[in-house]
Amino acid sequence: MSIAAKTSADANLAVILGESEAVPKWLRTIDRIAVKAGDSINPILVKETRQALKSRQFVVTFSLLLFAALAWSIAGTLLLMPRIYFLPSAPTLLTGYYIVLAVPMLLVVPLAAYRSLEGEIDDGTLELLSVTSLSPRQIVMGKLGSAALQMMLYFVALFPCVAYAYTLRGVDLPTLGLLMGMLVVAGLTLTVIAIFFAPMARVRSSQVGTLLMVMLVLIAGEVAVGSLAINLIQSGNPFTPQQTGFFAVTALAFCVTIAAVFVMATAAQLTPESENRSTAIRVTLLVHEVALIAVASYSLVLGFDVAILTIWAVTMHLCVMWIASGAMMSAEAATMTPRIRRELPATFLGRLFLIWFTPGPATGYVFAGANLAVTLCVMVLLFEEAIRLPDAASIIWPTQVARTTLAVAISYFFVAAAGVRVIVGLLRRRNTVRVALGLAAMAVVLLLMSLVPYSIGLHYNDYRPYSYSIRQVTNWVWTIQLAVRAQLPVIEFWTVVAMGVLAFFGHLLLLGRTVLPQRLATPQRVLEERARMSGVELKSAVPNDPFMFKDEVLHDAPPS
Amino acid sequence: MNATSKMSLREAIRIGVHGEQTPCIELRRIYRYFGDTKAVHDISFAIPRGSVFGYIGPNGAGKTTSMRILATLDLPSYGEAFIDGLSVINDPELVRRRLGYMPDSYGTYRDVNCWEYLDFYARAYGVTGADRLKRLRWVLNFTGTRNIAEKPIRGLSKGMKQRLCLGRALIHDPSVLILDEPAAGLDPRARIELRRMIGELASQGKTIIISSHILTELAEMCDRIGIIEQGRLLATGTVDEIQSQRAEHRELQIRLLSDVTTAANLAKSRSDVLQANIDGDLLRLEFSGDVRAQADLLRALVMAGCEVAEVSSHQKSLEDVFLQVTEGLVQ
Repeated sequence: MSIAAKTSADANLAVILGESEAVPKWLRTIDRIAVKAGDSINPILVKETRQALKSRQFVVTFSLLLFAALAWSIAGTLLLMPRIYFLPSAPTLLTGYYIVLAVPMLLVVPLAAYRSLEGEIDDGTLELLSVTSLSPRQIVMGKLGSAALQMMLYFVALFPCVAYAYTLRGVDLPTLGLLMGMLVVAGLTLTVIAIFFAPMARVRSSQVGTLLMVMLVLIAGEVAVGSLAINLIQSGNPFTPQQTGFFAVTALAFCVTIAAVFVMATAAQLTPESENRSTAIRVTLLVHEVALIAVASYSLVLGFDVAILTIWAVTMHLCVMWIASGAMMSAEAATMTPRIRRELPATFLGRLFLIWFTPGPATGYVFAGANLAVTLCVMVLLFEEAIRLPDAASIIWPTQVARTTLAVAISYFFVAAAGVRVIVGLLRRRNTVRVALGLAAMAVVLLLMSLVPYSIGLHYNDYRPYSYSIRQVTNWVWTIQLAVRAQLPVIEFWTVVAMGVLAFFGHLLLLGRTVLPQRLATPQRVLEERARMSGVELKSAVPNDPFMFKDEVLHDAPPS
Repeated sequence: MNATSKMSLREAIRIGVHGEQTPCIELRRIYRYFGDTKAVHDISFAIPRGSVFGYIGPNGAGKTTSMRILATLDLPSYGEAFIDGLSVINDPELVRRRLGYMPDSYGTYRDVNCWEYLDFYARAYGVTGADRLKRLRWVLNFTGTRNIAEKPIRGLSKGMKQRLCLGRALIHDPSVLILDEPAAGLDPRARIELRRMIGELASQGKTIIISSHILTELAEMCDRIGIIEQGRLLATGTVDEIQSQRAEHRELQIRLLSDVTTAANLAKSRSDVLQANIDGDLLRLEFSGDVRAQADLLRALVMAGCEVAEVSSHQKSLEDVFLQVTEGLVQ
């Protein structure tokens, strides 16, 4: 490095470090304000932005995006000549721009976010981040923020092209807004899901599996959103403004709340075992459920077709969600660390209503089961309301059938989740078990519950078709099928319900171990430290921290 | 700062304002098992405020595991660990604010230059505004990385990366430093520089726990050491204490003008002589007695007519003690 260059670098560093006297006062004031504003930004976002904007991946993607947009602008315009002058040509050009924008937004950015978190784990930098003051949630949100920023840059870069396409007529402004909004929301949701997969695999072999899974999710998302968007561009919006608003709000509510669930789940994977990793997830799951139930309830206003579609979709989604999360909650460790016990609700009412949010398989079992039951009950009520709407089609599914199916489904959940608890409990005696194993245990339990009685029945009937009997009572596939067809015999119905009730109340008897632990008082030393950190003066005659003395002001002898 | 004031500062910090020696770092019956592997087994020790604790052990002994537990990165299977009276298990977020950790890997980022790297960690530790710039300036100057501040990390030498990583551990001015093999792979000059920096940090009153394989350096730097093998703490105390505890097998070298064989036979008849070897006119004895026993042995030799020309006693070095205490077993 030449002397001049070295001097210039030194001067630059002096400016960065606030040492330079050559900087005008007004500029220093602006710098101070900027530094203060920068301090309120998530440090991960700052680092990721610095890193991402210098990374080869960003430079290549951004250059390719610009090049592709320019190329399509020229090629598309030439292809549309001469009708571009007198016919609406926006849909064709916009389809191309959509593809150019969707690839980085729905594929590249989520994949880069996944790789970024996975890279932190691989390179050991996540451990270094873990010993800082940053919370796992801040780390995840920082990654998400960085992804959002990159998306914004891509979006801004392509904005002139979209504006150019709009001037060619054929796509209205609300449709354009809907399209762009859809792309941003879908991109962010896919990013959150991709980040969720990153901490799942800590060894190389399973990383390949998770990468494949992420790719699959991203490609599925790209295809689903792409087909919807291209239909929207080519054929226009088929819905009324009210319906459009409803679907937009529904999609937004779904994406925001499910993204919150995934953020909490990712943060939980980065949180040490001693801390409470479950409550935040349970709260967000509940919020997600409430949001979707609210949407389903509002759908009744929009008529039978929209209502029945929404109720059906919400029911299916929430059922799958509560069964999966119930399996994972039932697989949680039963150990209550002192840290968690400090956070237990202290009052009677608090313990009554909030204990279900505290970590542990017992509370998780009840929480998931109760929410599944509430979801199904509300959905059956909404369904009964929907079929009373003036524009309702002739219903072949009587309400009684819905209620029977509901009772059978909930009962089977309680039985299967109890099985998960038993299996995971046995495994946990000798191994470290991750909650994801609950999903596998649930799959095994459900498979055994249906396959075992069916196979035995088949064997005793010389492998010929046979009819349903009480011996098939654990066979949930067959039983639910009969319940849906209103063919489930009464005795079998009550047997299934009795099984569910037995599993639930039997479980309640075992809840004591979870509910009984009393809240632990926070140690005085911790309170002191928290007070010190929050700047509250300690009422102490002598300072507790000897490092409060700076330089050589300490006395040679300790104070008497 | 002169040596006297340095000492008084360190001593005062060690003693604490309450006038008693409060441990800054404390491990109480720590166990860490990975399946059947007992990485750490029933380890307890306390490190006074302001001391430098050397953690010695062969590869796979459990040093890194116990340091990771202290750094809030791992949870013990059983036991408790405290830093400044705060539990590393139950209150990790409070512990982290006063803890600087430097693992045996660098943990650096691509596409980031040195000051950006330090700036990021300062932000991550919640150091804001003018304080951050002040800390950045101090760390860049202290670690001697100021002239490479704007260089990308990926082009740095191992020694420079090590300095940068020490800077990262110091960026939030922690009172406790956990340094896992900081001198590994460094050239002699870089090692001397590192030793100087650690000495300076210790003189500022920071409590440091450091693991290394270079025992001579640890003996010079550390106030206290702990020897660990197969997850068990075999010895702990000041270097002098351990050396004297394990000094029962000193080597005595006696040069005789005549009757070396007689002297050897006489020595062998004593219970405090474990081994006697003749090397020309030199009699080498593995001696377990104290100074009085040594005088008694010499008197016996002279009384037996042996002409003793020269006697020398070798106190065992930290390396000798280490080799004696450990068995070279790995898990």
